[in-house]
Amino acid sequence: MIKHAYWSRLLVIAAVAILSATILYPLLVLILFSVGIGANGISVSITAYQKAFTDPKTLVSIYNTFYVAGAVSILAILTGGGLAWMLTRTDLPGKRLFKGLIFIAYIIPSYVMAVSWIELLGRNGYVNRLLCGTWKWIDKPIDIYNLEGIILVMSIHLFPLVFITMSSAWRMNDLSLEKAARLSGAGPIKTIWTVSLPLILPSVLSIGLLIFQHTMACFGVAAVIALPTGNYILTTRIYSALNHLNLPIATASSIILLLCSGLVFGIYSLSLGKKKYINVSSRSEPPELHGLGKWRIPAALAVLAVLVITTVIPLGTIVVSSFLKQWGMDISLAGLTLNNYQIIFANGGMGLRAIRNSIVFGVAAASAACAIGVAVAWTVNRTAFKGRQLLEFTATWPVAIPGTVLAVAAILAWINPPFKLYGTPWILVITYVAACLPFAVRSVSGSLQGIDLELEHAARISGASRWRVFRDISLPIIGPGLKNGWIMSFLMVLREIPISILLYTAGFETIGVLLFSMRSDTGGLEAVSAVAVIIIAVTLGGNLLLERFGKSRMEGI
Amino acid sequence: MLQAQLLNISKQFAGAEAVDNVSMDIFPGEILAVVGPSGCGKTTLLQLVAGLLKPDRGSIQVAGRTLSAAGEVLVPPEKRGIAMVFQNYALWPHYDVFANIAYPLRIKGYSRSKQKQTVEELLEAVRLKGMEGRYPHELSGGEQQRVALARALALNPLLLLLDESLSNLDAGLRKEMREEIKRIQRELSLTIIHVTHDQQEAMAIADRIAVMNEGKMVQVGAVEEVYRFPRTEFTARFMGDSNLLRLNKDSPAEMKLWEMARPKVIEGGGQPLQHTPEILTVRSEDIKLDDVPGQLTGEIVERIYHGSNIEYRLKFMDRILRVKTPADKFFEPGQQAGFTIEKATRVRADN
Ligand SMILES: Nc1ncnc2c1ncn2[C@@H]1O[C@H](COP(=O)(O)OP(=O)(O)O)[C@@H](O)[C@H]1O
Ligand SMILES: [Mg+2]
Repeated sequence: MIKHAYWSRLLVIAAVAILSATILYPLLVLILFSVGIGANGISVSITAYQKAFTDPKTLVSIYNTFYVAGAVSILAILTGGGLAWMLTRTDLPGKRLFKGLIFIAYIIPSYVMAVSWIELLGRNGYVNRLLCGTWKWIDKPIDIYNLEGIILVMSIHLFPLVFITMSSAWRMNDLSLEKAARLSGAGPIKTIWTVSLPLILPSVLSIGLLIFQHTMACFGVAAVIALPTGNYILTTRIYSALNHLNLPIATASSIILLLCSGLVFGIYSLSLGKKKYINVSSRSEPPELHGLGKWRIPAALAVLAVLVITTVIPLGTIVVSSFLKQWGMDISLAGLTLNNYQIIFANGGMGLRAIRNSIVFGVAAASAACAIGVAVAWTVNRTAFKGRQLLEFTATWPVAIPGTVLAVAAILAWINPPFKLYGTPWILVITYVAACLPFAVRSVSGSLQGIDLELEHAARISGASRWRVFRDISLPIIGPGLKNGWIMSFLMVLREIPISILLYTAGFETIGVLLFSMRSDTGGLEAVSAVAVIIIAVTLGGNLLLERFGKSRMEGI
Repeated sequence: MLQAQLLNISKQFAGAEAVDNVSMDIFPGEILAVVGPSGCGKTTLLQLVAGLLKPDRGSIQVAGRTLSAAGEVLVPPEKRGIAMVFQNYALWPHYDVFANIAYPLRIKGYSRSKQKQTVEELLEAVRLKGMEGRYPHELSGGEQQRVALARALALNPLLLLLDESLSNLDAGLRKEMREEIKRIQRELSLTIIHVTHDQQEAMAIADRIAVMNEGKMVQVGAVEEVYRFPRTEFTARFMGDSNLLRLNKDSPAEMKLWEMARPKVIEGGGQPLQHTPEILTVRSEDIKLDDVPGQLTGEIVERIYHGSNIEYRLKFMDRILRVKTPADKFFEPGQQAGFTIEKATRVRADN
């Protein structure tokens, strides 16, 4: 195990080279650029930061970013955490249905969610028309084109993540601790307050940090909902600065966003490391459920209402809109058509091309990321190379870098000769790979750690060379993890907006570009909805595959 | 001729000696049991022999060939002809029983029909006929153990290493597998190094025993020799319920017992021990109890049934002695009993 065979040395060199090209080099260029070391100068200056910190729009966007991220964290935790408690610890009826609805909310891309809420709450949205026009309940239509709009959409988009984490937190809590509290004389409410909540507080805080970081990084939602009315958050501020070729603001803001996001994610990672001391037991005894008594039915109806509003209605809106002849007309059978789908799939049209491009990029990036993931994970877990932990860190930390920042870094890094990739599809693929790497490395590393070393030793003893051991034993066993990482990466590329928007070239549009530009053209919401339905369908398919691999025979080894 | 020879093998992990200057001879066709408490370096020793670890010092020879020497693995594990059954069996979860057992044959390049025939024979040897198509997770612990054994035998090994192979089985199955291994070993005249933390199991299975403690080889010898003539305090404690008696001027009880035991000392084979201070060890079955007060008298404080025999805690002044008697000797707690020491051995003190 200690002696480095030449091929394992080769593997490490390749991994280091690729990580440097996809992640380290672009970020280095971004940092240098922000302090004035660019193409035409080498004198260090902080003018970019001075400009950023005196620019009112940028200052407001920083404030807005924290406001939105904080509000989303609180809302998502209240909704997701509350639902998790009701669905794991009470005798609420209809749990299967509710879980299904939450799963649907989980797989709807945030951008699509934003579009559907625009269809509901836009100036001519269905809800506004009902409330304002038909029923005359309110005088002025509800306005969604503001920061609160982002908060609404992102909370709905992210509460399922809280639900998943908190469900397992509630399940992991040692029930005997609660029973002990009851036997010591505490009532049910007091028990929840003094025992259950303190026990899951660490989980709450850490998932809160993750939600905060996700929201800070959100671009598409903010761009479609708040940018048109001039309400910036950092990601959209960077985007508009780039559009106005204001590079100092764009780079300085990118670094500010990178630091904030990295800091929050760093604290989140640390909090994960500590959490294992909190969850006392991982036994899965069937939990003793709190009886809701006479509140059982009202509670179920309330949950149903929340989920219908957050999931069913938006999804339904998107689907219905995708079949409308023209969005905005009253909905009737005569107004339905398949035309929107036909346009997308029409030969030579941009729709089909975008879908094809996204699939090609997705397959390429996911495959490359998985290959590098195997190399990195192998080096970290199976060799004694110095600095191998650093290798894993480098490969996984892009998860804390907002896509917008990755894209800005890529532009600066690849715009000038000799590495002029801007304007070619390669810059997209490289940046996608950087964004996918964390998923790939985590998945492979996780399953590699799960393989008992004895399994590999047994194969060595049986006469297999190192390479054969890898091919015959390790690779098949990490297979499911690898497939998971691949599908997750692929779906990410398919749904990705900021990298696509900032880096695409004419002829190489992706689904993200299609969605984004259709919105801003007069392409119309009905066509966007049709694309959204296709993305949702593909995501659903991918997630069902993930589910299947997750339950396959190999899991649990 | 020796089947295998270890010379001054040492291996450090993070500065601590996991295996410390171990030398050992293994004869053809024997079962050598290496016993010691967990963490004493047994697995490390086996991995060194198998070539999965590189020794820091020393050399390893098997069948006249030097496999590791002077800090180098000269022959990689896949070329050594040494088989190993791992503590957790290490069956490959994505292969069925047939594929697991046939793997070494596949690598050797056997034809499909030859593989089939050999696997069939092996399955017969470990009594698992008809299980070819099962996957490891569909097998009980005992069956997994047999598959692992069959896979090891498929190599037709020069040396078979068993790492705590019986420890994960329940008592009945352990006895059965122990006999199975002995039978197969006789039939194929295999040479086996069997590692365990259980001294009873070691005595039951082995021809010779090697006692290990903190990475060092403490004593190697035939089973009954090691049991009857432990040469160190550690071996005496580890190999049976022994009462250790020191020449301790501060404890009158210890002095009295020591004086009583000294004339009963029998010297074992090998070199007489040359050292002070002298420690005597008296095994629990070498103390005789009597209902009438004798030369020395103690009080029974505890009685533990073991079925075939009874174990007593006997209080003599401020010392508690362990005494084992046949099941028909019956004493009540609180009863006074005379006792005599029948046999004792001298051992070296651990420092
Ligand atoms: N790969 C390793 N790295 C560091 N220390 C190890 C490693 N393997 C074993 N050790 C240490 O070496 C000592 C002996 O371990 P081992 O050979 O597994 O003991 P045994 O098999 O007798 O229980 C233990 O203290 C263990 O912690
Ligand atoms: Mg061990």
